[in-house]
Amino acid sequence: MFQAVRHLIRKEFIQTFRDKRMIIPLFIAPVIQLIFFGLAVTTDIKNISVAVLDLDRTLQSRKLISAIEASPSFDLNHHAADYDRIDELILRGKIQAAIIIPQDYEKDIKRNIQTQIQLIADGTDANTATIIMGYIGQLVAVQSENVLADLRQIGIGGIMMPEPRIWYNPELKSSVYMVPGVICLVLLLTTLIFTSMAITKEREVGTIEQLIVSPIKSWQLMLGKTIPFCLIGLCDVALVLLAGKLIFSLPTKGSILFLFLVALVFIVTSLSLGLLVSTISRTQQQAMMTSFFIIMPAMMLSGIFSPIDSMPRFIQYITYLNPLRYFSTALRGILLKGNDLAVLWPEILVLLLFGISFFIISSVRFRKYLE
Amino acid sequence: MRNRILSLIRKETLHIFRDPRSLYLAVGLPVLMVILFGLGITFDVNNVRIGIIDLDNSPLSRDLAFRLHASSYFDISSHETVYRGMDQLLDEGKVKIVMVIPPQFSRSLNSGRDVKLQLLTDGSDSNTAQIAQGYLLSLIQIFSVDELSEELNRLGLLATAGIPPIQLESRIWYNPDLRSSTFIVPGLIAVVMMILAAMLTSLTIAREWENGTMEQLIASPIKPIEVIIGKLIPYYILGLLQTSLVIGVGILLFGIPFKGSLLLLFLASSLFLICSSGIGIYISAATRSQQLSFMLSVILTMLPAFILSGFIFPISSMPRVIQGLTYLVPARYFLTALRGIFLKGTGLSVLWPQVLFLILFAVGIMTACTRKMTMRLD
Repeated sequence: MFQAVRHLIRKEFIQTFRDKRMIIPLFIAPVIQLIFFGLAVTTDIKNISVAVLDLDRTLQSRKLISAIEASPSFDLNHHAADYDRIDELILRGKIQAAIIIPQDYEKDIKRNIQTQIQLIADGTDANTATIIMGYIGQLVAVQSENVLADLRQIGIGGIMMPEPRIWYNPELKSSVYMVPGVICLVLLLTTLIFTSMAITKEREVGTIEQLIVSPIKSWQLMLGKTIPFCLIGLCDVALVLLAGKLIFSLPTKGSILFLFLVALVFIVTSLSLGLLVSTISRTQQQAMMTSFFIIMPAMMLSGIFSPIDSMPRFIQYITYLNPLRYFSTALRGILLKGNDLAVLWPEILVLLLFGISFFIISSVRFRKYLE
Repeated sequence: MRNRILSLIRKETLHIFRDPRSLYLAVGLPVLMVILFGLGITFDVNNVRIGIIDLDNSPLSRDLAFRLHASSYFDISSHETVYRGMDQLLDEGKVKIVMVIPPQFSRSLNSGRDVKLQLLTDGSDSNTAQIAQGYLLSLIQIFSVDELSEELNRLGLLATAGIPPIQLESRIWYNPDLRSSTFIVPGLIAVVMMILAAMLTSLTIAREWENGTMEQLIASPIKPIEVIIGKLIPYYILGLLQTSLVIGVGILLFGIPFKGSLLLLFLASSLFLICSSGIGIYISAATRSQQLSFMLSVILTMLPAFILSGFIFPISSMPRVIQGLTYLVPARYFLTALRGIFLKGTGLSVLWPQVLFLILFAVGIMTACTRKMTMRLD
């Protein structure tokens, strides 16, 4: 009985890897993706080009300028001579913000008159502009504080000194955060899109009819079609983890076995979806488009790239229907915080429910589809 | 020659229309993405859940908490006056930042001693952590300055009351409300066109090989360049349709401003569509297998379009090596052009380098396609 399944699995592996180039998308691409995600994905700002227009040219104004120069967030690479120059630099996209220090800046400070620093930011990139405003705001507040600190006398006016510490990922490496994202993406590609395309291919080429007339039962065929991709998916998880460890020294605080079990539950969910897609698609193109249509919103609403807390309320509710949300939370919890079942049981439970229900629906549909 | 191309175009168009679901999905996906992004899938950081342990519980410490509450960056989801349970909140992910206000906070400040405030941030989401911590530092700093200046004013040491000696006045150009959708929707055009155009065309030639119809084409007098043009044009038109839809939905539903020239937009989009369809056709001709072709086109276009184009993640923050790689990505140039045209109203006088690159890339990829398109049975 399982003999037939074994043969089918062997057949599927031979079929997939008959084309040696298949190794590229299945095993090499995940590592490349990890490297790019790890190095390039950051919404925080570094080396943002700014210009300064110093109309004061005094000790005080130079203090502010050197504070900006010292910050890793900004690259002060233009000293503008006048306003027109700033207009032009922003229009051409050479700088993203300009800081204008007014005339009499130092004089006003000395006379205790409030003075205003002007910040002009290019709002085309709204995120970056918001962050620039926050960071420059802090630099200016420090200057203010220094001015005031000179005025105070012993016994009055203390200063608040925040002492930030970071847990779980003290060096704030985005690669560490992105590993779970890459795992999700890779699993979806192999177990959802690839599986649905592999099954519709049999239909397109006509070999599915041979399988139907053979004495193979539908559940055997289903297992034979899904187990290979399940194994490939698990291999990819191991590969991405290993690469993360070697390239980015990814911490693995929790239990790896637990992580693989969670991944397996998720794989069942996405494989079932892949089966479901294949039952409603006639051509590989349809299968590809349909699964892609599922994957894009699922990725966007998962919290992998953009924080769910910042989304509007009703979209936050929609994310509860997204298995990816639970999977990525669980992965991050296990890898970075060392969470176990005691903390993650709600996520695991929901994932199990998704997995079981998708599996039942798709196996019923798959049987009908074969008949 | 024109007849041969025309009949190939007709055949390919028929193929697109014979599969209405793929067509709907190809048109529906961009619209869905614009709607999701337009409705507020943002990449900015706000409503970060913060826990406050206020061991002082004085009017001043409550003022500080209120400052955080009043800003849109933070949501105070836990506020306690005794030290307990905060580690657990951070472990379970209930809060992202914990701020501890020490006992004697208010009294120490009033008697001129500097006070340390402990901040504990969950760094697992490194981006959000860094940005949120930056905002928090900024808010505390400004609060501290406000209090200090008020105190100095009360004692007659400072003439101005309760305002910092140096104030920051910010002005935002092009997108004064800082709406994320304004910045994301034009970029989305580039991303969607890059991925969909390449994905759809990546199947075309591989399908002919897989189904055996390529042999018929080889037997006919048609030339490789004619096959490529015949395959390209229907998808080019489909791509333009997708683009217009994205623009239409963006402008009508979400009020995205459009300041520049439509003609320039059309020119840039056409060039870009040739580039991305060209990538798809090249992959298709090289692999001759739909599955492999699809996987490669996703990998070769999704990654560059999302990550290396500057769509969301600022290129200047990336490591130098990767910044160098972004210069090879057509989406980067198209995206700059799109944002310029939409939001700044810039013309060809500013955007000519971008257009020039797109022309070069289009010519290059078409030449490569013609070379790769061997019309031989082997």
